[in-house]
Order: sequence, then structure tokens, then C-alpha cells
Amino acid sequence: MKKGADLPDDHHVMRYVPWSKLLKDEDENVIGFLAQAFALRPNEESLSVNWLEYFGGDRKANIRDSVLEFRRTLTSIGRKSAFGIANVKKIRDTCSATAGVKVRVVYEPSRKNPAHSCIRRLPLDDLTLLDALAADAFSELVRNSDVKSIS
Amino acid sequence: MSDKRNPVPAPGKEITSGGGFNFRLPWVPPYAKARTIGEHVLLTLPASSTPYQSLFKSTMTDDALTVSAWSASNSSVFSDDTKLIERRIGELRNPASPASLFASANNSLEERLFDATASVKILTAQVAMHLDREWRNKLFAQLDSLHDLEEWDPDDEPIQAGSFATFLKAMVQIKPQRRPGLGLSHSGYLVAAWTSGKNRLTIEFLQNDRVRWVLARYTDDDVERFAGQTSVSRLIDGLAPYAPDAWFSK
Repeated sequence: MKKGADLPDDHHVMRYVPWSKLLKDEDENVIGFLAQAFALRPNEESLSVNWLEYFGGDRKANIRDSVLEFRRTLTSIGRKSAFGIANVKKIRDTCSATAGVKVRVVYEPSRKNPAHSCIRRLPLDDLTLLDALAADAFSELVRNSDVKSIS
Repeated sequence: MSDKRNPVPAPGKEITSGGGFNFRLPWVPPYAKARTIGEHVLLTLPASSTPYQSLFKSTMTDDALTVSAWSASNSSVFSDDTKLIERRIGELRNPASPASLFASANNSLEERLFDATASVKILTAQVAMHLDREWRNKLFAQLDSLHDLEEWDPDDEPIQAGSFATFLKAMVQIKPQRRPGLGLSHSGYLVAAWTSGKNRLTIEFLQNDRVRWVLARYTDDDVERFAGQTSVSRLIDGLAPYAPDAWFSK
């Protein structure tokens, strides 16, 4: 796939979510993601994700390989952190239905991370949309501690 | 201690949360190192000319001074002598480890995280009478957990004291029977979340008594979302149409 191309509807992306942006109960049991996990920083134009199908394996292998790629490329990844997985079409539909925003989910590989992709045209600070992404689009959660490194 | 990258105000600075609900961070002497144990803040003072230096000289080191301060019992009803004794007892109960006293000077992120956490714990002590001990302890554990260095995203800001002051004011007003899970925004605003089944209420506490909230209610396959931004004093009224007791009550 060429850089800048839209990812196929039936493919999936994975986002890293640090501990401070996980939805927890008062006893720190992880329930899901906070809306703030999908907020852009002021200096960001798009939301970084990994394209799962880039890795070419079955679903379980793709998840493992993507997590390993995150560990390899990010500065630090906490043991208690997690990863959110979303279907590409679900992301687009959620943004359209919730906020009337037509986002693009685009392949944007970097030299460090060939699976890197991004969600473009997200509003900077629409809490309703972010909550919908957190609860409805990124509906699968994988704990970092559950993915073993390859030794 | 306050700069653009670290919004934690210096001790002594008043934090306005609006509506006449102000906090003033207690004055603390310049300190070289600090850490918390439960609701106590332990400050390691540099060698100085304080007249109490010999009295407080740490049992762990010969050149540092360790003071335990601002427990919930640090109330104005106690005399200075009583407070002094209480602090000293606290110190003897919880001596600082030599390792923590001689931590490397280049751990600035760790220090920023500590400073932020210590500041908001001090704020909490000022409204301790409104929070039961169990919740206070749980809250402190949550704050420590949020600022765990090993889990920290280096691009994020630690908790802002003004945001936490807004949170405290809201909790004193709402008095939720169910306590929230906590998170942080990129900018260091505290986020409190309640869930009931799939239904969720998330409140982000901003500076100056402002909050913004979003809630989601699911019925079968349908979901309704509502969001708002208001002041703490209007928060209960703003949420009232959405039956917030589903989240706040046990």
C-alpha cells in the first residue's frame, strides 16, 4: 500500500493508551478507555495508530507484532498500559454519526515504524466524539502485560 | 517551582477555584528532596541556619533535615509546639530511606511528578474534614498510581493543582457515594469517571472552577451522548436531567 492511501474498511488499527488514560473504577480495575486517550495534543494534526493487517499474520499474531512494534518505537511503555483496537469503517462511521466529521484513516509509515498510520481530520477537542471513539469504535482492549516478548 | 512546563504552583500561592472556595498551599521551607508516605509529606531540607536544625537533624544522615508535615491533624486548633511534636513523631515513624535522600539530581521528571503529587495531597489535607479517611487514602493511592514514573507518558503534563482544586470542590458538593476512577488529560487536568454497566459519566476538571463532562447511556443497541461545560457550582444542576444518581449512588 502506498503512503497516504486510505486503509481498507475491513482492516483494523491499534492505538497505544497509557495508564493515565485508561477508564478505571475506584479500585483501579481497568474497564476501557477514557475519551482523553483519543484527544490530539495541540501540536498534533492526526492521531497515531498502527495498521494491524500490515504484519500479514493471523489476528493474534498481528496484535502481538503490533505491540512489539510499539515497544520498539515508543520512548516508554508502561506495564499497566493497554492498546485499543478498532475497525477502520467503525472509526469512520462513529465520527460521521457522532459529529458529522468525515475522518480518513491513512497509511503513514515512518522510517522507525513501517506499520504507522493515522486518523486525520479529527476535531481537536470534541469530547462527545472522543467518548464515542473510546467506547464504541475502539471496543477491544489488549493489556500490555498480556503480550509476551519474543525471547 | 512554577513554570510553563510545570504548572504546579509554588507553596504559599493561593489557588482560586472560584465561588469563594480558595486553597492556599501551606508555606514550606526550601527543600532538597521530598516524598510522601500516606497523607504525610516528608521534606528533606538542605543544611541551613534554621534554629530547629539540631532538633530535627535526621537520624538517617548527618547533613540533611527531614520533617514530616501537613498531616490531616495539622489543624489550627493545635499549638505550634504540638504540631512540632506531631511532625517529629511522624518522622520517627516514617524515616526517609538513605536512598531517597541521596537520589540523583538528574531525575527531573521524577521530581516534577513528585512535586505535582505532593501539592495536590497538601490541598486535600485542607479539606480533609469533608473526605473520610478511606476515600482519602484511596484518592492518594490513585494519585500516586497516575504519576507512577514507570507508567508515565513523557509528553504529558503532571496534574495541575488548579484542576485538582476544582475536583475537590466538586466532590465536596456532589458527595458521591460511589467514588470515581481517575485519569489525566494530556494537559494535566484530572478526569473522573463513573460507570454503571456500559453507561458512563466522565468529568474533566479544568482550572478556575470549570468542568466539562460527557455521558453515554445505552438502551439495547442505541446510545445517547450528552456533553456540557459549566462551573462546579452549576454541575449538579447541569447533570440533573440525566439522572446522575445512577453513577453517584450505590
